[in-house]
Amino acid sequence: MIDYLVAISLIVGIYAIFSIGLNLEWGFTGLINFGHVGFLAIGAYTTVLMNLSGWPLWISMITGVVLAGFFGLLIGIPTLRLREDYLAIVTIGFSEIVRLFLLNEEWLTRGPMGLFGYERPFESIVPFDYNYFLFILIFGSLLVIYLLVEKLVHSPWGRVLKSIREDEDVPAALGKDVFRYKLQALMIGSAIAGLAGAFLAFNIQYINPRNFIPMETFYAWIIVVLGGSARNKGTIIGAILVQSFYSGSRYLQDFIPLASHQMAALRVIIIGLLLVLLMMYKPQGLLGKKEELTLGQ
Amino acid sequence: MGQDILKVQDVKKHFGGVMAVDGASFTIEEQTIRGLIGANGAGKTTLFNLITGYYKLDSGEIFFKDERVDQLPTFKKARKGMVRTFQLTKALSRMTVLDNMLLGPKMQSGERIRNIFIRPKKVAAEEAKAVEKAVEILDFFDLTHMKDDYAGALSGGQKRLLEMARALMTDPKMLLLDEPFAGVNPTLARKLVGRIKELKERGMTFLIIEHDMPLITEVSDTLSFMNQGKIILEGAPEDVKRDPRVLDAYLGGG
Amino acid sequence: MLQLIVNGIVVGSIIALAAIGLTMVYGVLNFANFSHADFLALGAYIAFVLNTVLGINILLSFFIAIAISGALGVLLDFLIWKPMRKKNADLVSLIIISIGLALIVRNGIIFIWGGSTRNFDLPVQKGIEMLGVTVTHNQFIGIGTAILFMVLVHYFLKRTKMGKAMRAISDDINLARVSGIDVDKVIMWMWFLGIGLAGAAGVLYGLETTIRPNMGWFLILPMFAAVILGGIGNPYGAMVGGMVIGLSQELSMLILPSEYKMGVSLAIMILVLLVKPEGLFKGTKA
Repeated sequence: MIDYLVAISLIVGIYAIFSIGLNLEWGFTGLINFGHVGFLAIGAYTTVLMNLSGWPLWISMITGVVLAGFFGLLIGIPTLRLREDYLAIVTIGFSEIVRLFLLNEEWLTRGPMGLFGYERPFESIVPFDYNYFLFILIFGSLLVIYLLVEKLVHSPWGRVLKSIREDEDVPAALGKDVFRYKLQALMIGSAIAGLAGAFLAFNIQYINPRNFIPMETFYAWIIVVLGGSARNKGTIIGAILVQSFYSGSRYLQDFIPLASHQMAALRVIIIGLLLVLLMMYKPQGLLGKKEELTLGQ
Repeated sequence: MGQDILKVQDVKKHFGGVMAVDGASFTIEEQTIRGLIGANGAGKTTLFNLITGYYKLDSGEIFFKDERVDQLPTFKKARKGMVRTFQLTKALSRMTVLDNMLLGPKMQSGERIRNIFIRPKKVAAEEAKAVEKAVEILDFFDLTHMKDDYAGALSGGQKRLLEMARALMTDPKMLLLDEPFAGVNPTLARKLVGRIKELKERGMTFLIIEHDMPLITEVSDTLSFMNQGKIILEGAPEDVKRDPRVLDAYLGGG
Repeated sequence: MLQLIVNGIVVGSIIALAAIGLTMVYGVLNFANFSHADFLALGAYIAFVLNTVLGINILLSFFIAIAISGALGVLLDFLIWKPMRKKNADLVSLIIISIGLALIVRNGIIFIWGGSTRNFDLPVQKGIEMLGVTVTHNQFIGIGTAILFMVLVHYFLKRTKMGKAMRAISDDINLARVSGIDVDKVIMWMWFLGIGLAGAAGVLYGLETTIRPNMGWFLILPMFAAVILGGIGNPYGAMVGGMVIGLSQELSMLILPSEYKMGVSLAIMILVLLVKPEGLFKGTKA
């Protein structure tokens, strides 16, 4: 039972890190990033590919994170000056292109067959169940990231981000280079997603393009919205809730007369419904403050 | 005869088929208060938007302190000291009044990520000073008691004041105010007029759009009257407001 | 290469048809409806059920599917979009809601019909060969129907009262309201038309290829690209945009592997957004 819980917590931890990255972009800065999973993929695949080519794991991981952040920069430069809805459209395109690339460039990524056989941190040294070590690693990282992001967000820098989210004309009129802040937020959020990608690779030990479909981005979205955008604590709780829902429904599946593909579809339907209902009636999520996040002005 | 702080030359802007600003020109001297009046639709706010870079010019030139600025983005102009408020108030509702104010000061070290981690003491010190300054300015506008409330909770007039207070936090050389007195109670309006004149004495220049004739006449050194996208008349407030063209615009069709 | 052009015209006309509804909603209600593509798929599935399960002939199924799709569009306006308008919801909320809706529709389809591909109950017809190019029977029908519908839409917008009201709202919603147009009613009809056309495009797409739950998702990017290229809010722009995108995607196969077709739409879209964000033709707002 404990083993089961630990295994589930690993997924929670990874999604929490992934979603905190998104929260920085969307919750605090107001950027509609629908391509977040693309950076997850870049982090995962870079880490794995480099390691399989012989690079030490830590270097591979760091490169993965940095590369993810770098792609955030690349995507941001042409798109962050655009209207927010254009950003949404383009970022979905970006993550799909990444996935298609991973799927088709078999010479590099082995396409749909995926990659496995890569190292995991300290795997040979850990004397106990490796999952417990991963637990410490992932939640330790989550704590560090949480603290770092919280510090950033409650600083003057974070204040500018929030003002951009509210109405970017104001910080511009006061002399702030809005584009630069947006870019920084996107880069950091993407790098965080890259880190989550590396952890994902370590956890499941076998990655292939199907791990990086757009649905993953929207899981992050429901987690962020559920927990109350711009509340990192809420994001973590959101991750716990969504995963509980997921695992809980898996458990119930034995009692419900539905085929497994139907259960999977039903799960997503419920998530979609939740998204719609939340945005319509409780956009501040579970933990958000009502004044801070109500519709319109 | 002071230096010219703002020079607008033959500025044009069209929307669709309409010339919103049709060759507007004027010059403002340093340390003066200029009122910009005209009927609704005359192009005043559009002119503001052009000067501050919110809209792009079709043609014409704008100089700020003898430097050509019309091609610069808004934030760069703001950094040079040209700051504006908006006609439709943009008080950031979902941030506190104090946070709104703290957004103001330029070049805060805490706004660079690097400094947050390697110079925390400096960031904290600047923040404390900014809070002091913010409270002082809020005091004048009678907003101190609301400093920790969300700006969305303020009344319309209070939001206007907040916008101006926030702009003052940037230490501007020139403030462009778009209808700063709208919705502000007469006592506070009087006080505002006094404060604006005081700031002028301390070196600030003002360009103010306002519809309330008595107020704008009282606060301005010179009035510019705008009609159909052009500056048609300029002069001492008492003279301008009696000009038949101005009377026509305000009392006639307009 | 000629074959690619033919294929391009087929895909292009389908994208064009679907993009009309998308651009109108975008122009009038000011948000990017990410669920639009899934109503394309839904339309195909509805026709599929009518055709194979109820045994109705394909033509009738086609029209019924359009009607049902349109009705769904109206229902959703009533349940979701109109209440959000009343609340003055911001752009972002609407986009996220549309994502939620997309997830519901797509997975609803999987829930009911499963993930495998389906096909309409049609006799297999031989294609026509000319100039070294094969045009299948279904492709002909696809192009012909799409073009027919586009002409009908044109007639509707230019000649009928409702169509003109729609254009008025597209241009300036406040002015239209002030001139006495019942804006809510016109918006309702706009949804009917928009989603109905999406459904129609879906059936045609299903005819041309196969029916599967993801079929809409393949086209969402090209559709947005068409809308942006043509100028948001401009139905004619969307039609032209759709054709251009369809042709570009197919012709790109001359130099790119076919899997990257979607990348072509994305590239065109980014190019347009960087160079001329208002699109080629006059849209509503930039």
